[in-house]
Amino acid sequence: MNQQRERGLGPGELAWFVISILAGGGLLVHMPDAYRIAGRDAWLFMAAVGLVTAVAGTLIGVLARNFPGQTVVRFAQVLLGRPLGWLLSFVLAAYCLVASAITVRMTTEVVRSALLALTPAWLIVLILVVTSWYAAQQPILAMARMNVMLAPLLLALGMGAALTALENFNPLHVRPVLTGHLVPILEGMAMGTVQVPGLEALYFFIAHVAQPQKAARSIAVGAGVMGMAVTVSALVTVGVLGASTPHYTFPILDAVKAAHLPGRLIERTETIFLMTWIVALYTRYCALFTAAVAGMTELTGIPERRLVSLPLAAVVALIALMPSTQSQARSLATAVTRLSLVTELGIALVLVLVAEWRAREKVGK
Amino acid sequence: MARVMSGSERSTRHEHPGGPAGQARDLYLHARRVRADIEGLLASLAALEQGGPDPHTRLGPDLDRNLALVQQATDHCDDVVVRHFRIGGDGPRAALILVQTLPEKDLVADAVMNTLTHLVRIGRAETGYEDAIRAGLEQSGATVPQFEAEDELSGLVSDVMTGEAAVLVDGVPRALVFDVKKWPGRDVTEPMAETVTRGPRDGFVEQALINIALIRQRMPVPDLKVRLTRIGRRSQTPVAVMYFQGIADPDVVGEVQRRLAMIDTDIVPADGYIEQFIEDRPMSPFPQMQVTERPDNVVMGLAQGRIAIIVNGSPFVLLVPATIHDLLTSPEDYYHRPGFSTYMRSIRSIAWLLAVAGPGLFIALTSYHPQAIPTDLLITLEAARASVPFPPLVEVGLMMFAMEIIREGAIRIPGQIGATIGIVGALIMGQAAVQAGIVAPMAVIVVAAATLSNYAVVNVEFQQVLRLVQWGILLASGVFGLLGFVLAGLVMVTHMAGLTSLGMPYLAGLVPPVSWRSRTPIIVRPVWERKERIRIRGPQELIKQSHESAYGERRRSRGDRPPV
Repeated sequence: MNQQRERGLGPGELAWFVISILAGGGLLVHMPDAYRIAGRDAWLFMAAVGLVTAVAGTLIGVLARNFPGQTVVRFAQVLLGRPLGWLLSFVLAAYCLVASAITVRMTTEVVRSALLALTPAWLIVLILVVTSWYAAQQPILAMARMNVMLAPLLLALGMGAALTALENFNPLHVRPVLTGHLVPILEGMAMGTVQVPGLEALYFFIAHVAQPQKAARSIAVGAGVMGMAVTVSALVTVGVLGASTPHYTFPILDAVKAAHLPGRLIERTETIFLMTWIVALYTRYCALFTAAVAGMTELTGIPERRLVSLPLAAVVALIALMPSTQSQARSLATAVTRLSLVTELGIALVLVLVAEWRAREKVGK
Repeated sequence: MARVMSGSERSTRHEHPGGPAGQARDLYLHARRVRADIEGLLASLAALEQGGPDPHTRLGPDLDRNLALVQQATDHCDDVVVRHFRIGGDGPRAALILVQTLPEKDLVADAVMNTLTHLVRIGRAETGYEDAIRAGLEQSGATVPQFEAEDELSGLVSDVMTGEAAVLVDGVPRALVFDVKKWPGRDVTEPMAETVTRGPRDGFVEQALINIALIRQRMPVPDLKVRLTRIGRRSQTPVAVMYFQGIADPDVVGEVQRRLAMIDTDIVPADGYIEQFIEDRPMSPFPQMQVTERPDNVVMGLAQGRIAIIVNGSPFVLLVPATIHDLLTSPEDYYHRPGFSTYMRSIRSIAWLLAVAGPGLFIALTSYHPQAIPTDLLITLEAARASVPFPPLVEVGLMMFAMEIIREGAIRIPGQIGATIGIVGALIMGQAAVQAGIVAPMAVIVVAAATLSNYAVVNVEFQQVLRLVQWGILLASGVFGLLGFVLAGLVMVTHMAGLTSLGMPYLAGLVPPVSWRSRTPIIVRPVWERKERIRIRGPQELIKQSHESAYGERRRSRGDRPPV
């Protein structure tokens, strides 16, 4: 078939794809803890998170440029040797799987707290896992393009709904104090409270990029836009809820709920916000699950993705159902999120440095 | 002795242009050819066992023997007639064999017979009667249809069965087959399912040759290629593949022809059979080919590098590859003013969203999340629903079911009365259901709006799939509220994202986007601005026109920026 027809994600598409996988990540940001650590500066966390994510994304983009058409499974083995490269790829694929499971569980918590309070968690988890399994059956590029198509919708509707909360916004709640300077922010990042994992999926998607030389810029733009969006939503949350932020499980949702536009066609935007949030979480857990399936398929050499995806879907369901309470689920999410500093930023940095060193060594020879 | 392969031979064997997949495909096709040969031999054997003639028997010079063979082969076919006459009046004996169908066809056959009867001075030339007859026919000046020689019994019988007239002459070991095909068919009329307010009024008919002519008259150039083939072991249905050489991607043309060649079936009554045999994902409810009955639609598609498949017996033509954009746009969009067309496209886009999601969203909001509905509206809704004994899911489900019955019934009722009965039935049933307290007025409004919106979708196949998806979303929303609504919609989008039409992404145009110089999803740009073909279709010639227009020329003369 024609090459044009099978071309990978273009630079613009890649940026939207990054937005789609990070969009739902705001759910993993624990604003109550962030507020406890930094008080009214909590929203500044988000700006820092956006910056870190953009840097990590740029590094992964550099890898895409250096190893066009390859996933981490191939270039990690080239750079680090077969056993170490294999192990590293396995860790990344496993991380994507766990991150997908955590997102599924947190989605379940959102659904139960805002939509279906009496529906058992296992049923919601099962439905979400089945949908992600179905998404993973599609060609990887098709799955990515579905995310690309939904991303502008997510950004527009999500931000639009979040901004309706400005009705109750109090600027005094968000006036920066910076009492502890950057220390609370770094502390929060180290604790995993405010990390937004998800870019790990790119290690497996970058093989499908059409113009790898522009990948770093595209990913940085996508991560930057999403960082700004998350910062704005955190700003709105803290601005609306103020000192009561730590008392809510999902403060952004409560901030949007507080908005009331009587006499308008849509009096409350919480439903739109929730719908957008579910879509964002769907694009996120599907992308992570698809990345995990693609990675494991390549690592094991099993020719059929279907054979790999079914047991992995079962694993996702098991991990998602492991925590019995919401607080346990939150703890697990924080533990997984904490690792993302290593998986997103650390591994990308190491791989880029090794690649650079290898390239110089080659030139020297 | 074992033959040792040379290095070049080995490399040739490994370097198949299509790679291992191509090699496997060729092997498969070769195996199919071998199988067809074996089946042919088995058929000959079976025919011999049953006392019938071997279809591969060659015709001989003896007219009586040839006629006996034909009679044996067409035993119990009372519509096959044989007329005896003499060439040139007193020349060699001859017989005209044909299938009696239409009086007009008889006239043509008579013309052939009369011409042959009145051929003068048919002497037995040194080369035999055949050449003499040929020469006589060519010199007679009479209007005789095109003819060719056939020397095998099976070929002769097959030609006669497909409507041609064969002449057997005593002393000639082959038949002269005259192209007098004339099958019954209707005249070209306005398309039934794709009506437009502005644009051509002609539609395809059931005869492939007429359909080809309808396209050819709009593109009378040799670059428009027509490849004819016959599919169906028993129906021998003529199928034509049309494409524009120099524009269409040769890989896609080859792929279409390969898939058609793979079809091994008994009969092909219409285009739907071909569609199911060659589409990428036959189990998907979504149509992966554009079905149209408008020649102008096909012409636009061909000019974009698409391929048309015309099946004899069907007034619909298949256009491939097809994207969702192709299925949701009308050729009329490019005939009207761009502003109005943009407006209509927006309306249609909202309509199909309403058709697919309207009832589901209504159920999700009224059953699970009434807080999302404005308070005043909610009070009105609840007051109207107070006497309804069913939950909203059952209420809307019942109305949708009734609407489906009315729709199906209206199609089956003959003539124009069907549509009238459909409207009256829907009105009466809706009114009666509300008065009886079975459904609330809002449910009737939602279902009626969704049904009407469904009709706003241009493509009939797409209308049908939306009706199915509508039920899926309705049930998911009824069981899981907004979660079900959103997830059902997402699963649909995921499914569509994974679909391809001959390798082309189904959602192409949305993702991946295409250049605004070729087309845009909602906004219709002026024709003179759309100077490119759609790149993702792999056209060999990307630029289709310069952006010259009176408007552009005027702007340039004023020193303005060129419009494109």
